Amino acid sequence: MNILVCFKVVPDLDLMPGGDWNVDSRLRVETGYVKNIINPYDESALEIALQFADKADDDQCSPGLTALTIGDSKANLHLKTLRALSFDRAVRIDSKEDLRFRPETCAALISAYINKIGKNNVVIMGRQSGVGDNAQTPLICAEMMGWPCITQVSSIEPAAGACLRVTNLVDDGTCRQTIEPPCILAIGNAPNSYLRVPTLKDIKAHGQKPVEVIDAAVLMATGGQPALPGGCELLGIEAIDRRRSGIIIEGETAAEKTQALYYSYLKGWLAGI
Amino acid sequence: MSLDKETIVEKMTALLGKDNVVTDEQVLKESSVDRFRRFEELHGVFTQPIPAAVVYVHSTEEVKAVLNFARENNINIVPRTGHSATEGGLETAVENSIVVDGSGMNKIISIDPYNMLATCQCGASLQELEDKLREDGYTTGHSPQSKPLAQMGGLVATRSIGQFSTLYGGIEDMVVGLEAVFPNGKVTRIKNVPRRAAGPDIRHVIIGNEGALCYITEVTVKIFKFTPENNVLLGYTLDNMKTGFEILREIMVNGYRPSVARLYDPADGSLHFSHFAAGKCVLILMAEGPKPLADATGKAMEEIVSKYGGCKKVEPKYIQVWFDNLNWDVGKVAEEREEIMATKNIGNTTEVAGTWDIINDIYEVCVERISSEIPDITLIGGHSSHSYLNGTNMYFVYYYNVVNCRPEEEIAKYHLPIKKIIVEETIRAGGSMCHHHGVGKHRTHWIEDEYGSSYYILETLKEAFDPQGIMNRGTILPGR
Amino acid sequence: MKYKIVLNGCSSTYRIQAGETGAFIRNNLESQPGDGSTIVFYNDGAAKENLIAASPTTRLHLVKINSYRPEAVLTYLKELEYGIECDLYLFPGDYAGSELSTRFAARTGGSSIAAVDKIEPGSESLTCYRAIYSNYLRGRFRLGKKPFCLSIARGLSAGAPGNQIEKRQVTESDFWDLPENRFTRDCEFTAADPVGELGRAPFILAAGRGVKSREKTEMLGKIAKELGAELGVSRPVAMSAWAPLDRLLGISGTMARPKLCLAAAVSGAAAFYAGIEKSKKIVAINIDAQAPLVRAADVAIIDDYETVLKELVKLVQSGEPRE
Ligand SMILES: Cc1cc2nc3c(=O)[nH]c(=O)nc-3n(C[C@H](O)[C@H](O)[C@H](O)COP(=O)(O)OP(=O)(O)OC[C@H]3O[C@@H](n4cnc5c(N)ncnc54)[C@H](O)[C@@H]3O)c2cc1C
Ligand SMILES: Cc1cc2nc3c(=O)[nH]c(=O)nc-3n(C[C@H](O)[C@H](O)[C@H](O)COP(=O)(O)OP(=O)(O)OC[C@H]3O[C@@H](n4cnc5c(N)ncnc54)[C@H](O)[C@@H]3O)c2cc1C
Repeated sequence: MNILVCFKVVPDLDLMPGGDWNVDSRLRVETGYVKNIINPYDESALEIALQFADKADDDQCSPGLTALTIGDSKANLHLKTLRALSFDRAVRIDSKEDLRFRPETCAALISAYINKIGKNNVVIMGRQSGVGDNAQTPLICAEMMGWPCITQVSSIEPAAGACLRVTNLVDDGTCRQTIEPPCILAIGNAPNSYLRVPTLKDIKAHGQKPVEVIDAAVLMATGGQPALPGGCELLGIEAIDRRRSGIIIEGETAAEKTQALYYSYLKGWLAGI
Repeated sequence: MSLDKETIVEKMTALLGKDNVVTDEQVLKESSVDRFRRFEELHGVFTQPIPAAVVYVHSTEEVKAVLNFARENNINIVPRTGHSATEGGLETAVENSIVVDGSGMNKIISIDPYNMLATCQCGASLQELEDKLREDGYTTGHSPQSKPLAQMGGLVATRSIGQFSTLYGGIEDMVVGLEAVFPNGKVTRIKNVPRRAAGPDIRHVIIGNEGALCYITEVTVKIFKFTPENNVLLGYTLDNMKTGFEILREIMVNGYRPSVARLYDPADGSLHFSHFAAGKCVLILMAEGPKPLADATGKAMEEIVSKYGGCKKVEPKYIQVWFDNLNWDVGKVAEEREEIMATKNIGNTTEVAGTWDIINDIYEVCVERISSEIPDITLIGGHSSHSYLNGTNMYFVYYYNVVNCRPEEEIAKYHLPIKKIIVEETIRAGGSMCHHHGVGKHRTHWIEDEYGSSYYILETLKEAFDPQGIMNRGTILPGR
Repeated sequence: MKYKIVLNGCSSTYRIQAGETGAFIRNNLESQPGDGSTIVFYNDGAAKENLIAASPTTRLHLVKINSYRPEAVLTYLKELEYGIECDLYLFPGDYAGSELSTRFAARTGGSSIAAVDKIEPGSESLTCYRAIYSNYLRGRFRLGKKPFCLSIARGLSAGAPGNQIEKRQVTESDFWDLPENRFTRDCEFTAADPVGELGRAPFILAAGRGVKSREKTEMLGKIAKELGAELGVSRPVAMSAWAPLDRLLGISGTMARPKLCLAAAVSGAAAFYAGIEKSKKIVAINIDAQAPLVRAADVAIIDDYETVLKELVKLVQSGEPRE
């Protein structure tokens, strides 16, 4: 099995100072001041792939693991970490384009990578990532590859006959199914899937190996399928104002405040339920 | 052994009332430890003797009554306020201890802007005091990372220090007067005067006593004008710590007083600055105070830095956004607990100090030894965050994966061997093994080495004020 | 604008899908129930009369299939719609709907966008609005290529049944015995309540990471019961498995619309807030007055959640009994 895990590095938007959303004339939002994180769904995807490899190792059919990201050099740090966590390859498709709302371009790059270089047969990625929030890349990728796609996946285990045992949510329940690759698995909410941390020894042993950098334009020019027409163009961005009255209840002790809350507000509100 | 648990609870209840004596099993367990043992705690494993009770005191008189009872019955007392201690100072090392919690003594008694004094009870939260002062344009100048958690009694008891210390000093520079109760029941008050030369400065018997000599009930600290609009914030990236230490030294010896002077190595920096300074050291400076002074200090520091090659200026907003998220509130503590459980990766710290000529060597040798000698290390680095005319501190930060060991073995397998390296290398070089977290219970093995011949003074203080050894046994000095 | 609504009649969520797509059309297009039509995929398990009765449009096309597999449905849908001109395909905001809309656009050469909360039709294009930047911002987009394939934002409307429609025009097709996909070897399905207690609850107690442990989360579950509320949680709480996933509130979980929500030890990140935004009243309990939720609440108490909630239980239980 040859697994490709795709991830994206995003700013931790919860750290953005309140109200500090500046949109420039090119509809870019300045988020460079806050720390970057691996998109939470992608973090789950990476950890789930590692857990899968741990389990497959026990069954002596250890899969190849590649971590892939599209973007600029700010992702290198994370790629090195993944290298140290025993991903066999860490690849960055170098692109300086604004891909925030271009899931079709991301999908085309990923497909081109699979077809031309990686020859992977299982692709794992987060279902959505937190800047564009498009929630479309795995689906478009599946269309381009002509592969099935399982969404809202929460766990993946090895199964006999080079298959995968996949648990995923559907609208009215949960499925546990045995899947034969090739396939694309889009990770949804997956409890207990924080990415593990490599030791300095791991970093020394593996983390120094170079990250493979592939130029996006070159990758596409040398035989990638052209991106499917996206036809979705960003026209404007507005802030969402969520303020309510935000009355802070005063009082000396917690009990006093709670009583004030109850008698002045809650009692009435509860009566209306 | 002295009284049994039931009798202790009964007597405490008679003294303080039922509501103020807590015997809930879980609370008692959590009160047997502090952050030092949080890996065990997270796993629900408690290896320390469980206290007989946690009692909540609300007045100096009550503290006195509790201490009298403890002395008469030879019961170990562990004073507590914010419960944010990191070095085992809150561990109940003795069976049937009483944890005396002063967090209910939380009144801000007075704010005196004419004489620039603020007086509060030991359980007053620093965050609340500071917020209140700032509303009126004043500040304590004290801003430890634990500001949202810690309280005045604990802050004084540990000789704590804050992020603006290079201008305002540590807590010992801020405390004017105090009230404390000694284990013989004596209530002592030290009055508020600007200075005096009437014998040794006895405030220092109380400041930093870590609950091992007396119970602090009231604190008066200085207040300062708060003029954040004048702040000049500077940030730089640079290639190595040595240059950074040189810059800090030059700023200090030339008589400048930045409020913030922080230097991060690349590893520690990766936890904070990877979005703009990956692989680099980061130097952060801030000048504050009256505008002409802040401007002049800022300008002079810029000039000093500009003389050193390889320093690249960072847009201040990067630093500001980081700084605004730096303090640890309860939410961050919760986040950390969740991550430790999920990844079995835990971070700890040890802070030391040394003169300018040794600090870089201490830094280098410790990083080198820890990364090569300790298993499963995932990060070792540190920062200097408090500079003085004569030297600076080094705050080591280290993370490791806890593998192949039970929760209760984590400390012996990882944390103590790391601490040992840092402490021993520091003392060997001539520095101090404790810069601001206090000795707690896990650096006591080296306390004689730390003091050398002056250990006599320390030991005599303990014998004089706590001859029975009922005050926080095993803290600062090894338990007898 | 010619539109079609595509619904999953195999799912117990059919009525919700029909309700929310119908409401979306009413709110966004000046259109009569007769203008569009609905395609419903269904199988043996579903009662046809009910599917017809809840249809959001007068015209509907029932397609009988073996079981609802996205891969198969896409093939059938493409076959059904081959050569037919249609401007807009509208899918519900659930998992199946958002998946189909994107993939269907890819197959038909149209343009697609997921989780849309509002549209404005133009002559040759469609303007769509949706949340971006983890729900902190909202983007305005233009779709330029027909057919426009949209899924709507989750929790946008209550999914109430729509206009009363007198008479339906029903057509049917049957793909019942077409071969199944071959990549699935076996599949066990465990049914769950699709709306969940949280989706229906008039009163929610939401717990965030600040509760600190599984034990405390369980304790809050009890407090919720005592207060007569349902327990909801933020993502970190669910991801640590302190509470089951069906308790998750927010863009990745339930978009609730209770009358009252008490949010304890939750900071109020936008991705969470979306899940309680439709609450009539929001009360924040947080030790940090600067937490974003405090400003986004109607009232707030700045104090320890545990002390406050325990006190509240006393007050509620000593008060007049509620029905
Ligand atoms: C996230 C985090 C960040 C931190 N950052 C800093 C920092 O920037 N700078 C810094 O200096 N420290 C820091 N600390 C350490 C800690 O916050 C300080 O030591 C603080 O001063 C402890 O105050 P507290 O009220 O929580 O005391 P506690 O934790 O309750 O007690 C600390 C010690 O003081 C003793 N004590 C408490 N109250 C009294 C009393 N009334 N009388 C006598 N003894 C008493 C206790 O017995 C114990 O030994 C940090 C800790 C954490 C968890
Ligand atoms: C793509 C994407 C999707 C996401 N989807 C969701 C989603 O559906 N739902 C969701 O919730 N999140 C979601 N998130 C995560 C979201 O951004 C936040 O990280 C998360 O909501 C924070 O949860 P929290 O408020 O519980 O934790 P924190 O932000 O850590 O807040 C804890 C709060 O508890 C308070 N507190 C601590 N102790 C106490 C005490 N004793 N008493 C009172 N208050 C206390 C603290 O002051 C703090 O405000 C998503 C993120 C991304 C990127």
